[in-house]
Amino acid sequence: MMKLENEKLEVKGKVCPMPILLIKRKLESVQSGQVLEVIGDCGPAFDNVQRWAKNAGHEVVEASKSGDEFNIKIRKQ
Amino acid sequence: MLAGPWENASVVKVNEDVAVLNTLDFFTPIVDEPEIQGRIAASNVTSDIYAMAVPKIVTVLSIMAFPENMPNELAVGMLKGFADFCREMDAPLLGGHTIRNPWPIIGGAATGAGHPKKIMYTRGSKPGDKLVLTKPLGVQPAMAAYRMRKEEDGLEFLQDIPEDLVEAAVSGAIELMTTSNKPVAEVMQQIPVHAATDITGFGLKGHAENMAKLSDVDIIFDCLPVLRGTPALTDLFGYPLMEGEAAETAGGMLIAVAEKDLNDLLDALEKRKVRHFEVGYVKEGSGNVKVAEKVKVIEV
Repeated sequence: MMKLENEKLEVKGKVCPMPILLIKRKLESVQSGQVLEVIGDCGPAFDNVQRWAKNAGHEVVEASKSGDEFNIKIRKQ
Repeated sequence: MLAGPWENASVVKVNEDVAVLNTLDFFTPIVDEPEIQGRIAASNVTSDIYAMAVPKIVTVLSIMAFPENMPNELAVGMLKGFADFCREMDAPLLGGHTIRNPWPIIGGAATGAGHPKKIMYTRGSKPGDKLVLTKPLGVQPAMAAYRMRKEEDGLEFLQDIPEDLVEAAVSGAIELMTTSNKPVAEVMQQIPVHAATDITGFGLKGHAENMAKLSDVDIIFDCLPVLRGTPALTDLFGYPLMEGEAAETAGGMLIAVAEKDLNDLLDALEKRKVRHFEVGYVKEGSGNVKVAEKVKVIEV
C-alpha cells in the first residue's frame, strides 16, 4: 500500500480554541489513515489538542515540545 | 497552622477564638471591559476565603500590572471594579501594588478572620454525603466564544451556533463570575456541612479530586448543570466540559452535606437567592472521582 505523506498545519500565534477549530477544518481534506502534523505555540493547546483528538477517535502518533513550540502528529481515523 | 497550600486559603490559629486566613490570586484579564474584569478578579480573590465558610474579610490588597501602551483609563477601570466589588462585600480594600509589565495582571490578596471551629475545609466529606454546587459550569467555552466573536476568523466558526445561544453563554458566564460566594459562606456558618471548596481553574473534577483525596472517599457526579449554550460551544471547541474537566473562573461552591441536612442547606441557599444544584454523592473509596456514564446535563 502506498504510504501517504504527512500533511502539515501551522497554528502559531493562535490561542485556544482556534487551534482545534483549524485542525478540524484541515482534517476534512485529510484522508483516513493519513497523519496531520500540527505546529503551534499556545501552551494550553498542547494538552487540549491531544485530548480532543483522542476523544474524536483519532490517534495521537507523537506529541513533543521544544521551547514555546509544540509539534503534534495526529493520524485521522 | 490549621491549613496550608492544599487548601483554598492558609489558616493560622491565633488563639482559641480567632483564626486568620490568607489567600492570593491573580490572572491575566479575560474580558475587555475593565470594570467587569476588576469585579471578576475581586470575586475570584475573595472566593477562596468564602470557600472556607468565613464571611468576614478584614483586608484586601490589590495587585495590578499593565503595559506601557495600555491606556490609563483601563487600569483605573479595573481597579474601580475591583474596589466596588470589595466594598459591596464589606471587604476593606486597604492598599496594594501596581507595576508596569509586558502584559496586564489583576488580582489581590485577602485576609479573613473566623472562629477556628467554624472553618470549613476541603477535607471531611463522608460516605453517604450529597453534593451541592452553587453555580453552573461552562465559563471556559463561554469565554472562548466571547473572544472569538470579537475576531473575524473566530466569528466564521461561530456561524453554525444560534446567536442567542452564544449570547446566553457569554452573559451567563459574566454574571456567574461577578456573583460573590459570600452568601454561601454565611449559609455554611448556619447549616452543618462536612466539606466545601470553590470550583476554579482545575474544573469540577479537579477540585472534587482534591476533596476526595483529602477525605479518603470516592465522588460520583450524576448531574452537571451548565450554562445555556455551552454544550453546543463545547461540541465545537472540543473542551472537556461534559467530563467535568473544563476550567472555571470564580465558579461556585461544591459542598458535601449529610443527607439529613440537605434540605436545610437547600432552603437556606434558596432564602439567600443562591442558585443550587444537587450534582452527586460521596461513597466509600480512595480518592477517585467519576462522572456517571448516564450523567444528566441540565442547561440553565
